[in-house]
Amino acid sequence: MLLEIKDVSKIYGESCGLCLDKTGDEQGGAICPYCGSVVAVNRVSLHIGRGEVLGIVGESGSGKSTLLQILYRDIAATSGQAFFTGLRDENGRCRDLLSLDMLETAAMRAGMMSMIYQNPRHGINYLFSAGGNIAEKIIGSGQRNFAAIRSRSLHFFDKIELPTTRIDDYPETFSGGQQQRIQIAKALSSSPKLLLLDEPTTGLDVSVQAGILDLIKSLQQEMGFSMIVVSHDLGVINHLTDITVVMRNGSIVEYGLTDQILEDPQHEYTQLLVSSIL
Amino acid sequence: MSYVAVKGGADAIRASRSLYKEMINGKFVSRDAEHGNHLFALDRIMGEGALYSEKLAMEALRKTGCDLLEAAFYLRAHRSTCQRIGNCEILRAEDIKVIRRISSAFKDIPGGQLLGPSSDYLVKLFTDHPEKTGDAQAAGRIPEQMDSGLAPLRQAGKILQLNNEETTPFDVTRATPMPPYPRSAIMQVMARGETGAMLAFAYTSMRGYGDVHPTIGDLRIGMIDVTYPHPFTGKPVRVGTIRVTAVESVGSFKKDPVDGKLRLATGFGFCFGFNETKAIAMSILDLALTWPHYSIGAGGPATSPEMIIHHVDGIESMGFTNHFKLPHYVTFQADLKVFQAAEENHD
Amino acid sequence: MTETTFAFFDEDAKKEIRRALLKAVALPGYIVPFASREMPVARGWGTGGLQITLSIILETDTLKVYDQGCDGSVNAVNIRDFIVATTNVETTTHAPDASIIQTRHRIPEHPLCDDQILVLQVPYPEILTTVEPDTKQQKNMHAHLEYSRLWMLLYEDTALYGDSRISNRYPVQVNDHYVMDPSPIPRYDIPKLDNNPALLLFGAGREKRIYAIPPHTRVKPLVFEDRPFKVENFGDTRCERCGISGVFFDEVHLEDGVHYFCSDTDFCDEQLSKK
Repeated sequence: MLLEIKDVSKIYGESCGLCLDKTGDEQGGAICPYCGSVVAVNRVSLHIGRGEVLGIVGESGSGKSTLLQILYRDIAATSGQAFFTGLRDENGRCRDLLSLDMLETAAMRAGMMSMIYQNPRHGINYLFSAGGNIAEKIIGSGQRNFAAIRSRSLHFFDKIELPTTRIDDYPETFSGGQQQRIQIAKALSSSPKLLLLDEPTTGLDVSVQAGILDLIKSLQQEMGFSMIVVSHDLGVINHLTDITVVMRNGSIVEYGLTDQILEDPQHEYTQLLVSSIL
Repeated sequence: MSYVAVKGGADAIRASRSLYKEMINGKFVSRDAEHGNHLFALDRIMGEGALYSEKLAMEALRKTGCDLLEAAFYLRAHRSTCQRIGNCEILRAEDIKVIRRISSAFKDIPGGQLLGPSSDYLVKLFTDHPEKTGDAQAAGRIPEQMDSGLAPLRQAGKILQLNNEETTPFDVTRATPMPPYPRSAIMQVMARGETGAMLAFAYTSMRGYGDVHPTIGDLRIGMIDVTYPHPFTGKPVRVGTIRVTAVESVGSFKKDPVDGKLRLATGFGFCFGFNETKAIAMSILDLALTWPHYSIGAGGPATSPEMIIHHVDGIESMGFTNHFKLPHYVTFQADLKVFQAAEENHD
Repeated sequence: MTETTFAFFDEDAKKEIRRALLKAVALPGYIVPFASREMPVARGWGTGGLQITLSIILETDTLKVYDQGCDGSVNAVNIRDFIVATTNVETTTHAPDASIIQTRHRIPEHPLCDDQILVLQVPYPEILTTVEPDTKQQKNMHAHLEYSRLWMLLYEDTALYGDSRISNRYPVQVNDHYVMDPSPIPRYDIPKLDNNPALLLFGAGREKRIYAIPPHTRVKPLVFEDRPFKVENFGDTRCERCGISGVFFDEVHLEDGVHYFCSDTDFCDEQLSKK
C-alpha cells in the first residue's frame, strides 16, 4: 500500500452540517439544497499500491481534478486524511498528507509525489530554460552538485525523446506536445513514488496524444512508480490504467479493474459513459 | 574641475554647492535671477509641456499659482497654435556644452567627472552650512564637445547596437502610434512625459519588477545649439540655445541578435531643461522596454510598451483624472437604474 | 549646524534603531524592519548606514567614512561632514585607526579587528528581490529557508554562461541559516565576511531594514559544491601608484588610455609610504 485516502471532502461555500448527506450520487447533485454550497468532493476513500496505475474517470464537475489537487496540496481539503507510506514525523508517527505545511509540502513534492497538469503552463516556469525546469525539481530535492544536476537533467531530457542539444532552449520555443514532454521530464526527475496526471493529453493533437501516452506507459513500466490518471477520456484510461474509479457529483459510483469496468459496467452512469465512446 | 584625485573630493563638493547656488540665482539661464529662482519649475514645465520657451513657462507659472502640471498644460495648448515650420538638425548628446557631467560606471573617464552645479551634495536642512563656499570661478571653460563616458566600451565593441529600421522619427503630434510601437514614438512620449509617472514606473523596475539596478554610464546637463537650415541659403543656422539633460544607462549583458556575441544593453534618456530625475528614469525605462530579458520581473509595468506609452503623459492623465469632476449625473442615473434592476432580480 | 542634539536624532529614535540592531545581532542575517526616518541626505544615498552610525556613535569614537574604497568620494565626504557636524568626533582615513567605519560597496583591505564596527550602506536588503518581488512571499520563503529559486538562477546562469551572472550582492548564507544580501560589495570582498572578528552592521534606509553579522560568524557564498567561488580576475595588474597586485582595482579611462589603481585608497597610501 502506498497511499491511503480516507473520507476526503471539499466544500466550496459556507457549508452547513447537512451538505455531505444531501449531495452526492444518490442525491443527484453536488449543490447543497440548504446552504447552496458546492460539494466538489464527497467523502472519497481510495487506496493505491506500489506500482499500481489507478484511473479516475468522470465528466467535468465530477470532482476528479479537485481530488488530485488536494493530494498535491494545490488546494486544501475541507475534511479527511491521506497517508503516504514513508511520510512520518520526527517521532516516527504517520503524518497526514493533508496537514503538511509549506516546507513539508515542498519536500513531499521533491521526493514523493509529482504532478503533470493538463496545461503545461501550470507545471513549467516559462522564465527558465527546459533544462532549468527539470533542474528545479532536482535542486528542490537538495542536490547541490552542478555536474550531477546537469547530467540528471540531460538524462531525463533524453528520456522524453527530445534532442539534448535543445536543453537550454526556453519552453515557448517548443511545440505543445513537446512542452508536455518537458513537464513529464520535470515531474520524473525527482524519482517520485507517485505520479499524478490531470488530463495529460487533453487539448493535444490526436496523433501527438498517442506518442505521449506511449511514453508515459513505458516510463511507468521502466521506473515502476504508481500513477493516478484523471481523465474524462475512457480511451486514455484504457491505455494506461489497471484499476478504474468512476466519479460523479463528488462521489465514487463504481470501482474495479479497468478491463471489467469497460466490458461490464454495473452502475448506470458508468454504462452511460462506456456506451458513449465513439 | 574634475575630482579623480583622491584628495580633491571635498573641494569639488564645495565648488559644486556654490555653482548650484549661483545657478538658482540666474547663472546658466537666459534671463534674470527671477528665472533662476524658478529654474527647475520652468525646466519641468517646458519638458512636460513639450515647448521650449522660458518666457511662456514663466507666464504659465504666474497664471497658475505655480501649479506645474497646469502650467505645462498651458504650453501644450499654446503649442497647438504654433505653425510647424520643419525639423531642426539632429542634436547629438556629444555636442551638449556640459556644465555638469558624471559617470557612475568608472572612477574617471576622458573629459573627467565634472560635478558642476548640483544639489546632490547639499545636506537638506533649513539651517545653512556655516562653511566657506568654494571657488565657483575655478569651473573653467565649458567644453564644446564631450564623448559619452561609455565611449571606451562602445569603441571596444562591448555595447549592443540598436538595429532601428526607422528612417524618419515618428511624431506623435502628427500621427498616433499603433502597436508594434516604433521606438522613436515611445522615446518621444517619454521625453514629454510627466516626471512623477516616469519615476514611479522606473522605480518598479529598480525594485525587482525588471532589470534591477542599472549603472549610469553618462549623465550630463548643459546647453545645446538648435540649428535649422536657412530657407534661402540652405546652410544650418543657429536659431536658439536650449538647456537639456541626457543620460545613458547600462544594464545587464545579452546575446546580440546580430552575431550572437554577448554585449551590454544600454538605455537613453533625454529631456528639455535640467531634469536629472526624469532623464535617469527615462533611460531605465528605455533599457527595460528595449532589452527585456527572462527574469521574474518580466511582465512588470516598466517592461511593457503598452503600459508606458499610454500612462506617462501628464497632460492626458491629469485631464482625465480631473474630468471626473464634470457632471456625470446622466451616466450615474443610468448606473443607478442598472443597480436597481439587478437588486430586483436578486430579491 | 545649530542642532543641539548629539548625533542629530532624538533619544526615542536612537532607542528604536538600537532595539532593531540588537534584534539583528541576535538573529544573524535576518532582516529587521525599522522606522527609518527621513534624513537631510537623500534616500538611496546612505540614510540607512547613517542612521545606524548616528545611533551607536560616542564622543570617544574615531570615524572613517568611505565610498567605493575612496575617502575622498563626494558621497563619503558629505556623510562624514554631516556626522562630524552633529557629533564632533575625530575622523581618520586609516582603517586600523577607526572604531567605526561606514562604507559603501567595499570592505577594507586592512583586516578588521574585534573592537571595530563596520557599518555598510545597503540599497537592497532583500536578497530575494530578483527572484520574488512580493514582500509577503519573501517573508514566507525566508521563514521556510525556501531558497531554491536562488539556486535555480545559479543553475541557469552556470548552464548558459559558465558561472553566476551576479557580480556584486552575491548571496551568502549566514550560520547555515538565512541567505542574505551582503550589500553591493564585489565578489572579491565576500570572503572577508566569514569569521570576521569585527561586528558587521547593514543599514537600508529607503527599504527600512537593518541586519547584522555578529563577530566570528560563518558566512559562505551560495555555490554548487563542485564549483569554486570565483572572484574578479585582474590578472597581473599592478597599481600604477603603489605597485601592489592582487587587490581590487579601479579601472580608470583617461585621454591617454586605461589605467588601474587600488580601489582602497587608504591601503594604497600605506603601500606607497612603505616604498
